[in-house]
Amino acid sequence: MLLFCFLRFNLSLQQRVEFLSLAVSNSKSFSHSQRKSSSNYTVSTPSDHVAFTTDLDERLEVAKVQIEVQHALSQDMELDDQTKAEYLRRLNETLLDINELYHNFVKPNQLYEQTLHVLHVSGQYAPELVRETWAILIEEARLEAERAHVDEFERVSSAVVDIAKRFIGSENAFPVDVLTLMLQDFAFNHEKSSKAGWAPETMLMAGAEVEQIFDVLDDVFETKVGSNQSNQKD
Amino acid sequence: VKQKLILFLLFVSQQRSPWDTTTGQAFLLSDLSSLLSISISQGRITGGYNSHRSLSATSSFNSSQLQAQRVDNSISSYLVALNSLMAAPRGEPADIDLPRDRKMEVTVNTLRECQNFVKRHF
Repeated sequence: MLLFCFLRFNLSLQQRVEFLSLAVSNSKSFSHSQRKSSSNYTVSTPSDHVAFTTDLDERLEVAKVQIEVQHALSQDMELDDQTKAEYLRRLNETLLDINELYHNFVKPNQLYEQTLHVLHVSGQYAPELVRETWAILIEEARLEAERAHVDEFERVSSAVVDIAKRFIGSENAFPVDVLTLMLQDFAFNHEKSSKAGWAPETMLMAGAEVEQIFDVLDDVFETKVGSNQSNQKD
Repeated sequence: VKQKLILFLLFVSQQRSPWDTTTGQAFLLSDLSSLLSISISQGRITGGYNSHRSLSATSSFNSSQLQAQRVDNSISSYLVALNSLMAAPRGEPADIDLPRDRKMEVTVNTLRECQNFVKRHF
């Protein structure tokens, strides 16, 4: 079954992912007692089996990124037909690893939400990249609001909440400290007309813990305001 | 569109932190007061004696809530800072450009209400 997933058989990406999902389910349901009774099974110890299942699970997570990338590229209006077809053919051909996906498809096509998915799945800590990616996603939402003549704070808030819900708890894709400060900056820099509490409230709606948000804002206070008070006393 | 977004990124990276200005500080304090007010209205304040977050890791502290003692102490610091910002000797007030619900007087009132609530209930 696994061979079907990775070799260049004439299968769609969707079918490969279905085969991989089945392999993961089978591996998870394959109990220790079955392993003992199965003479053909090559994975011999429980720890081997756990490692094997974990590896399959991780490959499935990467495959889900690949599906998302394929979908995003199929919708990309800025690509010419020939380039798009070539990308989609290569994505259908076999399951790729996360580095190939990022460097050959996500990065060159500036797929920002998929960049966060890559950071989430790969467990890669890349503070500059995540900051830049969120800055662009926030600006995209603001531009959309501007074009549609709707409230930009509402649009940005709903975009952040929608994306963050997919990555909540992932410090690599949704770092609460970075996002809290970015939303504070956004609120301050855009006409200063934001409702008081807009940034922390958006973070709460996105699922961030109140203590984390408070820590971030209180740290800024201590650094920028509190320290001035101490200096004045001195 | 993508090129415009890259230019925007360059622009953002060159911006100064707003929290270095007195207006930025008044703005930040209004958000802190709002966060505390929301936390109270959503029942996110809890009692106990952990007044600093470093203690929370070793206790059964729930990070979806704020410790009352810490909130009380923080509000006292914010009120001192606001008094200092409002007592600027010359020139325009720090919050002149800020919208009505972010004016320092509003922030002071919100913080006092939060502090009274915390003192009464914890």
